[in-house]
Parts: sequence; structure tokens; C-alpha cells
Amino acid sequence: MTPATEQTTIRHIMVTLDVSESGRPALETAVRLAALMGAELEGVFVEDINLIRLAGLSFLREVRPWSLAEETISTQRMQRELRTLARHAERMLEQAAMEMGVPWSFQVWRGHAGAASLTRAFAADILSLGRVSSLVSSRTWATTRPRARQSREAVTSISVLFSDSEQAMRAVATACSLAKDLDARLTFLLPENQAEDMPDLKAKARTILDSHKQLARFVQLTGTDVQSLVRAAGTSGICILVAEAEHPLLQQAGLDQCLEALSCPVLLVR
Amino acid sequence: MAITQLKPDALYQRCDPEQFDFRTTAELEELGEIIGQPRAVDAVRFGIGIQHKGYNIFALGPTGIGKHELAQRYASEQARSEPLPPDWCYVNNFQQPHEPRMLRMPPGRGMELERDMEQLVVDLRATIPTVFESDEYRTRSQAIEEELSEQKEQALKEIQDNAEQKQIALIHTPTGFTLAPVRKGEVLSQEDFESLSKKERKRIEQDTGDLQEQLRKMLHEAPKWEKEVRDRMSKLNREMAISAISHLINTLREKYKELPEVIKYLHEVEKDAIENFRHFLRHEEEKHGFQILGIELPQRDEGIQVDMRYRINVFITHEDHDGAPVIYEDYPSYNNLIGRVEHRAELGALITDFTMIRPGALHRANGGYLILDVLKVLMQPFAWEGLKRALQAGEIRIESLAQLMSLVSTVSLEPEPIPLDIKVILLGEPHIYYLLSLFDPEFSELFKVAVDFDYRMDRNPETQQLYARLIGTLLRKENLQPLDRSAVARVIEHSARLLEDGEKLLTHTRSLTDILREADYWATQHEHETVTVEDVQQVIDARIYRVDRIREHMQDEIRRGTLLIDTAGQKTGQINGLSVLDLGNFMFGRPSRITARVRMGDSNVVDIEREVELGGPIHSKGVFILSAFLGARYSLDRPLALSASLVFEQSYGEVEGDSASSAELYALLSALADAPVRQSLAVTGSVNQQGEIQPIGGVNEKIEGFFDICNVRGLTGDQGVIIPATNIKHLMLREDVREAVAAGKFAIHAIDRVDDGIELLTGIPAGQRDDQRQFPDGSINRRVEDTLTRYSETMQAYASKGGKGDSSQEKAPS
Repeated sequence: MTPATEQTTIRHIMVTLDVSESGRPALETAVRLAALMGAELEGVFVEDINLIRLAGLSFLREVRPWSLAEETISTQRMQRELRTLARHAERMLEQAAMEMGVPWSFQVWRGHAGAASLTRAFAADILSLGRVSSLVSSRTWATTRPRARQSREAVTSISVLFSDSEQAMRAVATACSLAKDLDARLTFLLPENQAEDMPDLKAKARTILDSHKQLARFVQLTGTDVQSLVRAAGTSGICILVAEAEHPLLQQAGLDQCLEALSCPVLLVR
Repeated sequence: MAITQLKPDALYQRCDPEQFDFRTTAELEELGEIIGQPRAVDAVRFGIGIQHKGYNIFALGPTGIGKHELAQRYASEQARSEPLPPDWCYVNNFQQPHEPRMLRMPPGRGMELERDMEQLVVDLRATIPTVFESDEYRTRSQAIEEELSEQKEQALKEIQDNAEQKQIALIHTPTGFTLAPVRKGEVLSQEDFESLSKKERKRIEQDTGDLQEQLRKMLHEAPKWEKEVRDRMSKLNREMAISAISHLINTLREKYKELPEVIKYLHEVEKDAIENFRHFLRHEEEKHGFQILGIELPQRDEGIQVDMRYRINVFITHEDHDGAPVIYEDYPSYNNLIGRVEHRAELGALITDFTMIRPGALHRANGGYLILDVLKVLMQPFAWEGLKRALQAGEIRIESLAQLMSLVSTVSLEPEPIPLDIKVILLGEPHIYYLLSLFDPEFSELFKVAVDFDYRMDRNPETQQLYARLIGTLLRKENLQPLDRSAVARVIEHSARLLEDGEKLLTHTRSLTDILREADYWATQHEHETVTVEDVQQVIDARIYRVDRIREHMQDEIRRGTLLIDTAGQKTGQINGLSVLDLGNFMFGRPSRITARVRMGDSNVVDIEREVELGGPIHSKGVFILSAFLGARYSLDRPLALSASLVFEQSYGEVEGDSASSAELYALLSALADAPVRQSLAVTGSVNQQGEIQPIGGVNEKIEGFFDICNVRGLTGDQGVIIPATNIKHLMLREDVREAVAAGKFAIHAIDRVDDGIELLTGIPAGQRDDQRQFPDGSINRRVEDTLTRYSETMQAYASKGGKGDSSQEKAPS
């Protein structure tokens, strides 16, 4: 399969929409990619089922971080607020897609907001995921408040999880195209457990890079868990992570952990 | 009794070229002083020398007399010996940007400070980013931020740990946070919660309540932590900024340590730069503003941008001057005098700052001398008021006209006023000086020194020598060909003619220069190496030719008999008067027929010109004097029962002046005495109540005007002009007139009294009263007196009859 034909197979890109500033990079990446590959973009606003559930518990109170006000939660209010966010997300998608001339569609998806669930629920060629879970991590909180309005930063570094699977090749091709378009630095994250096969793997990677006329840096993971991926990606100053959808590190809770820890969009390529 | 027939040498004050010991003016030494203006020179020396408030100078004299040259020369001489005034700079007022501050600097150092401050900004742009990009700053600032993150993470972790133990999760809702019971990562639904035991539900409610309180406390604490971090960051920033800025400022402090005003300013710059260090951190790409329709719009900061903020507006510098300044402002508008604040348009608004303050002539001349044309100042709106206000206040306060007139109330600049130490020299016509003295009370307080220029000087051998040097000096200045001595003599003679006075010389340098320029032109045309007397004569002739079309037409009409002027024969009650027509740059004499009709009556002498409002007040005054003269001389003991009318025949314009009053009197006397008057004579001169003939103006033109008519008709030897004896000194007649007189074909008679004139005109003795106060029989005066007596007696008889019968008894000319 040549790189050109690899690109033509990308017809459908799905992106999770988060109206906060931290959710914008996932959208921008997806729109850019859709424009680059001539794909259709589908925006999904996730109504976390957990939020609907907790709204039914009348004894719970909500604390607002800016006004420091407290209020009880009701199902009606929660649904109204989610609808408002969904409309906002749709407008955001529309604006971004129109700017780049990308065909788009939008839907609201209610369910468990885990990334793995979403991956299973949508059959898109590429999924652009941002943080979707409502559960708060201590890191989220620590970085939210002081930088309430984060400025948009240019994408300077794209990392791709590389293996010798066919899907990994598609992920690499996508990363190369994106890096070329964004003039970003490319990093190949190589698995730890293939030390003996490493020269072959690197040679394969270089062949792909040559066909895309790209250069890349190689970083080998130091473990087999998500933390090793987060550490390796952190050293390369990652802005976007590209991986095959079936990559073992990004299954079940691993994907949520990765999204939480990296604070950058993850592109899953099928 | 004195009737003098003038000899040719009395008709012209010739300048003998032989008195000059040079061949051409090129040999003459340049004149270093101004001649003919001793009063003006003394006054200007006094005015420039005296150093008290209000002793500004007003040089009054006709345009072109050399006021500017004199003022410039003496002011420049004085200025060379005076010290250079200080440089004046405007700088930003960091507390009140709309009130820019003024800096006084030693001469020439303003530019130096400007260069140093420009370099300072360049250095700050280089140094501050370096400091804030240093490892030290990055590490210290990140440490502060990390500390906050850790503090928050720690606080939240405590809550999360507590919650986890109690199977409760912290959830991010659309508008905040809440805590909810979970089982296996899923929030309990209402049904699941209801299915729990009451005790369990109560525990969960209790636990969520406790954790909620913990969360609330933490959220309340968070702003304090952030504030603390911000304070620590500010302190760090300030510390780093000081390290980058202060050593640069200290270098300047050392350089300008003897100038306390600059030291104070540098202190303010340092303070401001430390407070605004972020302006120096901007990257190039951030300088660009936003775009509308593809047009990039400049980015506006609040206040003045950093590039401008520390600039020095070197308002006035005297680096290249030698002594105090002497400035002539050719266009003294309000802004050009007082200075102005310029604006630039940005996004539809007019923006300004201290760098856009521009000096006026008062600023440029401050510490020296400012020369202004007063008429130009008065013609410019508010310029006179602005000038006076500055001189009175002793300072220059720049205010726009719009501000001054309260036309706009937008915020504009109010620059700190600059102290004013100046000597203003106004140049103007005398009538402006007198009008200002009369109507502007402040004028006399501010312009105490009048420099009065004389338009003439005495003519004698010494002054003629000086005049020759003046001609030589002007020729050199104008780069014109030299004059030979005959040409110089002719210029001197023409100068006297222009003044209408053979004993004076014209000091009006512009008129003199114009003659020399034109003489140079004709000399070039004739390929003369030096200007000759013929060239000068051509100047005079060509000038007359260019403008004497009207004179020619009038003379032609007289010749053709359209305008009735007799130059031969005798007529009663009719005389040739002489008037002058002034066309601005050319005057010529024109004979006018004046007629008189007399009859018995009580209306005295009627001036028909006055009745139809064609006679000016001075002319009317002359006619009233005639009535007084007639009454006093001939009707001392009886009423003057005379009605007479006087008219300028074929005159359709205004008649002004009293130079025809003697002619009018002769016409009246002729009519009353029934004595015909010689039409070959023309008369000029005014008369007073005593019958004395007084001098008049334009005597040369008047004589020449009548001569030209006679000449055209043919000179008979009987023709001539009667002039006042007091006008003899003014005679500078044309050569052809002088030649006719010398040949006995024309005569100029000078007289002192009316009796001389009437005798000359009628050939009948005027007659003097004898011991019995009677005029001799047959004399003019006797005949006039008899007529008036008869009128009076008839009038009395008529009155005694009760007004019946014809009261008029006209005496028509025979």
C-alpha cells in the first residue's frame, strides 16, 4: 500500500467536542486533518451518563469555582445545561469546519464518557479525542484555575506510536501528512519489548519517512505501561499523539489515563 | 509785493558729476552704516540695548525703506555678543501624560540626550528579554507556579482520598464541581440509591456533605494561594527588571550628573521602565495588530507606546548657532508663532503625544530676537492676541486655537509653558503704529520703543557723496553693473524729483534699488559695460511711458478741444487751475478750467463741487477761506451781500486739496472786478485768510502738465505758470521745460500774495489801501470793493422795501 492510497482511505473522522479551551486542540486537529485528507468530519458531544445520574440525587450540591456559590442539582437544570453546551459545541464545530471548508455533521451521544466506550461506539477511520470524562483528577484541577484562558499554541511536535502492524503504518502515514502540513517535528515512539527487532523496525520507519520526505526522531519507550508512554511523550514536548486504534496501551482505562496525563489530543487511526 | 519770474537755474537742483572723484561706483568703498536714518538708528540701538520688560521695538516707516535690514543688522550685531540660549526639550510626563514636561538643557546637549535615550530603549529591548529568558528567571518562576500546582493537587488529593475511601467521586459538572456516590466507576442512579438501606443512604449523605464542606473550604482558599503566587511573581519580575534596567540608567546618571533636571527625569524613566518592563518583552509577531478585510491595523496600547515613551522631543536646539538667535517669521500665523500640537489619524481618531509638539517662532527666537511684519501678524486670526499674551506672561503656553476658543473639549496636550526671554521687533507702516497706540491699550505697554524711519534726508555735497556710496553698496549687493558718475548724478537728481524736493534725497532703498535694477537692464540691452546717464534716463522715460496712457488721452482731448482749456486770450471769471491725478505709481498734472459767477445775495461763495459731494473736505475748507478773505478785506463795515458760485469745469470726479484755492480766488476777483484774466497762465497755490499764498504738492507735475498743453499748441512766450514762492525749492522740472524757460518761451512766476497773482493775471495793479483806507481808483481791489459795496447797498434797499422786487443782480463776465 503506497502512502497515497493510505491517505485516500481516510473518509470519516470523528472528534469529541469539549467547549472548554482545553478541548479546542482536538477539534482543530481533526478539522485540519479532515481538510488535508478530504474527509468528512463528525462532531460528537458526549452527555456523560454519570452527570444525568447524579442530577437525580437531590441531596447533592454543586460548588462553582469562580463565583464560589453553591446550589442543589436537578435533572431539569442538568439537561438544560448540557443542551446549552451541546449547542455551543455545534457552533464551534460549524465555525471551525466552515473556515477550512470541511463537510461536517454533529450528534449528541449519551453514555459512559470513557474514551474506550467512544472508540467502540464510532466506526470512523480516525477518532480525535480530547478529555471526555467528568471525573476530576487532581492534575485537571491544578492546571485549570490559574490559566483560565489558555492561549492557542502552535502545534510544534507530533508523536506517533509505532509498531509493525498494518494499522500502525496507517497511523504513521497520517502523522507524516499532518506533520508536513503543520510543519511540526515528528517523533516515533518505539516499543520497549522489541529490542532485537529494533533495527528492522527503524528501517521500516525510515522507508515510510523517505516516502513522505520527512525526518523524525526515535524515542524508545522504557516500559510497557501507559506511564512509560506518558514519560516518553513528555520528553518530546508532545502536541498531538497519533496511534493505531487497537494499540494495546490505549485500551480500556489506558486511553483515559493517557488523555488525562498528556493533556493533548489523541488521534486513533483504524 | 514780490513777483519773481524764475530763471532756469532755479527750476532744477542739478547734481554736478564733477564733484565726484570716482569714475564708476565700482571704485567706491562699501557703505558700512545706514544713511539718512540717524533717529531710527539711535532708537533701534536703544531698543536692542535696554533689557527691561515691555521694551520691544516697533519700527515704523513706509514699506521698502529698509526697516527689516536695519532691525536685522543691529539685532544680529547684538546677538553675536550674547550667549547661546539653552536647548528646550519636551519629555513624557509619566504621571500626567497629557501634560508633557519641559527640560532645559545646555546648548547642544538636547540632541545628545535624545541620542542617549534612543540607545537606552535599544539596550532595554535587548537586556530585558535576555534577563526574563534566563535560566534563573525560568526556573524561579516555574518553581513558584509548580508550588501552587502542588499545593492545589495536594489539597484536592486529600479530598479525593477521603472520597475514594467513602466510595464518593469528585465530578466536573457543566458549571462547577460536585461529589457523588459511585460504585465501580459509575455514579449511583436515584433508583440504586433508593434501594440502599436507610442507614447507608444517611451515611452517604453525611459523607458527601462533609466532603462538600472540605471542597468548599479548599475553593475559598484557592484565590488566596493564587494571589500569593501573583505577588511572588511580581516581586520576582520587579527584581529581575531592576537588575536589567538600573545599571543602564546609572550610566546615564553619571553622564548627566551636573544637570539636576535630567537626573530627576532619569529617575522617573527608571521607575516607569521597571513598572512597564513587559512592553520590552513583546515578540515581533505580537506587535502586529488585528486585520479587517485584509488590512492590518496597528495595535494600540493604553498610553504612549514604548518606542515613544522615553523619547526626547528636542524642541529647540542651538547646536549650529553663533550667539543668540535672530529670527524673521514670514508667515506669523498663531500656530507658527506660538507653536502647535500635531495629531495623527488612527482608526478614525486623532492621536497625539509629547513627541508631536512643534515649536513656533517665539520658541526659536527665545533668548534672542524675533522680527515680525505687524500687518501680517494682525491679518492672522489670534496671532496678535497670542503674541501679546506670551509677552505679558513672560512664557509660551502652547494651546490650540480650538482649545483657546473652547470649540472642542476633548483631552489634548497641555505642555508645560516655556519661560520667554525675547526682544520682538515689529515692522510696519506708521498708520498702523498710530492706530495701535490709539486703540490697543496693551500695545504701548509692550512696545515702548518706536523706531521712526524718515523717508528723506538733506541734500548737500556731503550727503551726495554718501548717496553715491549707498548706490555702490546696493549695486554690489544686487550684483548689478556699476554706474558711472554722470549716471550717479542723474540718479541723485531723480531721487530728489521723486521726493518733490530739490533739497532732499530719498532714503527709500527699495525705490532706489528698483531704479538701479532697471538701469542695469537697459545698460545690458545697450551693451554698456557701465550704466550711463542715458540708461538712467531711459529708466525714467520708460517708467513714465509704461503708465502715462491716461495722461496722453487727456492731453489729446485738450488738444482736440474736447476738454476746454484756453492757453491764449483773456476771460473774466475764468482761470486755468492746476490739479494732479495720482494713479498710485504715477502722478501727472492736468490743467482745469475754473469759472466763477457772482451776484448780489446772501449765500456767500457756493462751491458747486461740494454741493454735489464731489469736493473733499480740504477743498471745501479752501473755498470757505475765500469767503472769509473777501469779507475781511472788502466788507469790514457792511454785510457781504454776495452770492458766488465756483466750479471746476468738465470735472467729473472728486476734487480734493486746497491747491486750487488761489485760482478760485483769482476767478472770483476777476468776476467781481470785471477784469479779464490772461488764459496763457495757469495758477496753483493755496491761500489763507490773510491773502498769503501757501505751498502746495505736486508742483513739478502741475507745471509740466500745463507746459505740455502749451507746447502742443505752440509756445508763444506769453505762457507760464504762477506758483507759490515757497515751492521754489521743490522744483525739479523736466529738461524740456527748463529749455523753454531758458529760451523765453515759457515762464514760471513765483508769488507770495494774492495781490501779486491778480496783478500778474489781469495786468491791473491790485492796489493798497491809503491813509483813508481807500484803494486807489481803478485798482482791482477798488473795483472789487465797489462791486461788493453796491451789492450791499442794493441789498439794504431791497430789505427796506419789504422784500419786493428782484433781489439778484448778477455780474456776468464780459
